[in-house]
Amino acid sequence: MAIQAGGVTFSRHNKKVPLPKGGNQTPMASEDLTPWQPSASDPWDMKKVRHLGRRAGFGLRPEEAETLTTVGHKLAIDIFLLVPHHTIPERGTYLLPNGEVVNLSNYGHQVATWLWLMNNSPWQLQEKMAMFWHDHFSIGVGTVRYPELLARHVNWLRRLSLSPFKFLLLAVTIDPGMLYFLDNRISTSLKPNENYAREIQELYSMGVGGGYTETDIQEAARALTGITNILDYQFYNARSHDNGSKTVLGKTLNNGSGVNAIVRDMVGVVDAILAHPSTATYMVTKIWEYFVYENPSQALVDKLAARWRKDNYDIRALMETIFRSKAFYSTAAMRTLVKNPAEYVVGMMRNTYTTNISYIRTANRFLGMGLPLLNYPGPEGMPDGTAWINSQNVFNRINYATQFIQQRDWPRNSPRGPLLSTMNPEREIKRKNLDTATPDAIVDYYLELLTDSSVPKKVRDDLVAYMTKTNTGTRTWSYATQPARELNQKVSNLIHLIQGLPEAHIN
Amino acid sequence: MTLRPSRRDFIAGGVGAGLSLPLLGDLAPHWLSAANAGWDQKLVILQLNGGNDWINNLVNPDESVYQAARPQLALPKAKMIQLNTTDPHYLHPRLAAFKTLYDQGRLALFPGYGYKVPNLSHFRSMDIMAEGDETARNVRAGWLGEVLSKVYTGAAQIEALNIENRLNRHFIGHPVPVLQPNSLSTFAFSTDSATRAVDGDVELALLESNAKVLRPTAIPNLRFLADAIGQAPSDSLILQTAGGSYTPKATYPSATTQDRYVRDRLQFVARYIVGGLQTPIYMTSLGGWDTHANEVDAADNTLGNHADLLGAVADNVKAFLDDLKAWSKDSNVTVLVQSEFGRRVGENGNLGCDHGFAGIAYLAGATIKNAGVRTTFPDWSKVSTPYNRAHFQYTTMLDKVTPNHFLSMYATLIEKLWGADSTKVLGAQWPLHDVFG
Repeated sequence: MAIQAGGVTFSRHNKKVPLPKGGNQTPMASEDLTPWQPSASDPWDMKKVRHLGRRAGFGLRPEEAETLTTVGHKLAIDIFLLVPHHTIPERGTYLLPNGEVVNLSNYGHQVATWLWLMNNSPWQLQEKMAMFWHDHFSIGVGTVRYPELLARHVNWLRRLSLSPFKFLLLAVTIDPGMLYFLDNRISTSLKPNENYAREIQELYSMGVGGGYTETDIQEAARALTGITNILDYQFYNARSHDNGSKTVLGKTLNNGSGVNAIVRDMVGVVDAILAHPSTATYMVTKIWEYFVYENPSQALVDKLAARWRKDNYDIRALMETIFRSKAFYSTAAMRTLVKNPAEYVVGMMRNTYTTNISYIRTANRFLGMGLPLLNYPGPEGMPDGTAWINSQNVFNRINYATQFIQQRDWPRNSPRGPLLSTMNPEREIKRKNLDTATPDAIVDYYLELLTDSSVPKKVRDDLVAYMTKTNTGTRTWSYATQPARELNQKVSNLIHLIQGLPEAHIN
Repeated sequence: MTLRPSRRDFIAGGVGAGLSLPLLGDLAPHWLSAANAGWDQKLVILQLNGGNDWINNLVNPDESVYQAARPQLALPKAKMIQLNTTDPHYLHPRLAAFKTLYDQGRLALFPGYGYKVPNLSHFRSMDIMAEGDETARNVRAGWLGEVLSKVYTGAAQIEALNIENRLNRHFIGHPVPVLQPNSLSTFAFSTDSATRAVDGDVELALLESNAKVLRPTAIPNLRFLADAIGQAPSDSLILQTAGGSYTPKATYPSATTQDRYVRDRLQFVARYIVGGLQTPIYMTSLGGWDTHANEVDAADNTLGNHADLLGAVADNVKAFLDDLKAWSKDSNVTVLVQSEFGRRVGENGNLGCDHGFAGIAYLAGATIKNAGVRTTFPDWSKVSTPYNRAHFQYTTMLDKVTPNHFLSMYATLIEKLWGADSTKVLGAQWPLHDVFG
């Protein structure tokens, strides 16, 4: 395992949010895990639909949001939870449906493929969960060396993203990418390597200080000896397995010799981890902070953790509880998190329904924004929240938006090379009849689409003033006489300005 | 709205140290008596991420336990560099540049650097060192963030520069620009009118003014975002212009990737110090120190990954200090090199070793008045077997009496370098090193 630049921690957030006061018989909305129900004063509306779309996916296309509002909350949430075990090619060259040829032995091209999938996959939750699990079991091309193994790793995470947590822990333990990344492939009875044995307890399940001891780590390292691989072929080497008796987290593993002993020891370690109460609380806290809000109360975590253990750590059941809960639609949850780079970049694509994109070029820009997909330096993932934001990433994000809003008619053979993307707002302008609307209505429409109309009034007024002027800012804009091309450009610029607002970085 | 407390208000309100100092007389706390201390002193931190195998940095090669515990890793005495003729300790061959700095009186070494209840998780240990508190569970406020928000009274517009991919946890709680040398060209809003709208300037002004409109307090993350976006343009202006004419006046190493990585970052710091930025804190880091395997070459254990890393650090630190000296800018610059922990006494059989207690820190610069080894070595005789699981038993050296604790280092920097009150940041008084005179 290698750690590179950057301070890191298991703690995902750094800001303390005052905890809600408890003590009442009926829990506060932000703590209430019972299913949310629409009422006359609190209907299933676009704000909630977009909230669901941003958290359970990467944002919604305009028509999707309208449809999911119409079908009602039950079906809308079902649509997110129904995920096929969809995977993508792991090696060779591959033609993306947008016409780009990706070479999967290049990890940057794999990121491009993933960005395409995030933008276009109808199974948004699967990609979101895969990204979450990839951050949780983070591995990187720097140590894995064979980029094809990364594609396989993420495919496994996709397949198992909503399975029982046990399957995930077992799959990751025998995943060749992980065997490379945390050295377990070279762990033998003579020279047990504690790297993976430590992280499976510390980072992947119980949390730092979750109740394991240094002895538990050493014993688990012995139990996990003999799991190895040659390139992408994983196998059990009985000769390098430690057949002695081991005690991990109070559970004694003494299973004789042979390949079966390795598998039983491995399952034994995972079972011991799952039997420890820290596992559910740590994982539930992490998932809650990623999908709902920061710093959940201990009472809430305990309640959800107990329920998850009763559900045999079934991740789909946990996510269903979360997405249907009142807490998920409370003010503590809605529009309170900071978008990570994927949520910002893909969110912009989806909110504007932009598909004419060079994903290979986008991947280059994206990888500079602080989320090193497929190239994590260490196993601890990335801290979320305000840690995504610093002045460099402010420029990276908003300058990306600058490139993103380019118009279709920019010459393809320009000396600046091919375009990153060509956003065309014309479709949305026509669909919403914005070409005959007032500047106020145009600004209000896009503020709602991109920020749920959450900006201060002064910002909105300034944007309206901007839209009433010509591009040079000298003459008053006359909508009736402008050619469509000019209007497209102006609306694109408006989208750029909105994407530069603090509200556009709130998830 | 701004997250940082306004320094001008602070001083105008009469709380500034300058107003009350002369009245204190003999009652002045000792941290005000440090010679040459002040916020013109610049600290450059080079953090080694992954756990530097410090035993192979500075060791007595005649120590029998060292030889017994490290059949593959123990360095040959003949190739090592003796610190001085009266000292049994030898430096790794690739630390030759540190030997030169030591001979010039510009290097202090702190073997046995650590904290009382060691945690062998990288992340936890990094957190502990970032928070400056070994009992806290999360980093709520990094010690450098607290230095800036609680005791800093200087006037720098950019109070610290974090040369990394993302904000280092040492700065948490305080907004600090984060950038890499190769990303300076993109450290600005793009104004390329060829690829986008016609009215670039109008839009840039709107981007900035939009962010500066006050946001409601209910969502702390939103205010943080507004603050970061609002500040970005002025940070950009300063960092784009300062030190623009800097060129290195010393030869930096460039043979390995690590050499070039550290070189680029230290030259970036040198640029701004030469360029006259008042920024007192610069921080960068180098990864790759987690040498569970292949720490050394099988054929020659003075070569390999760890040797390259050590060479990159020592050669670059020396070049950096020489560079600033040639620019006559080194008199107030101190470099701190530290890692989150060390490694086991014994090797693990994979030409490497696992996480272990204790470590080493280095302070380098013309500010060093008392060079040399400043702390006590842990005791080899108390090391138990098996060696591959053995740690130094030296936690008694990490109380508030013997200054091996990293908090003694932090306290020394805060008090002796900057002349500020370390207890406001660290919560307690730690023994100080007599290194700055």
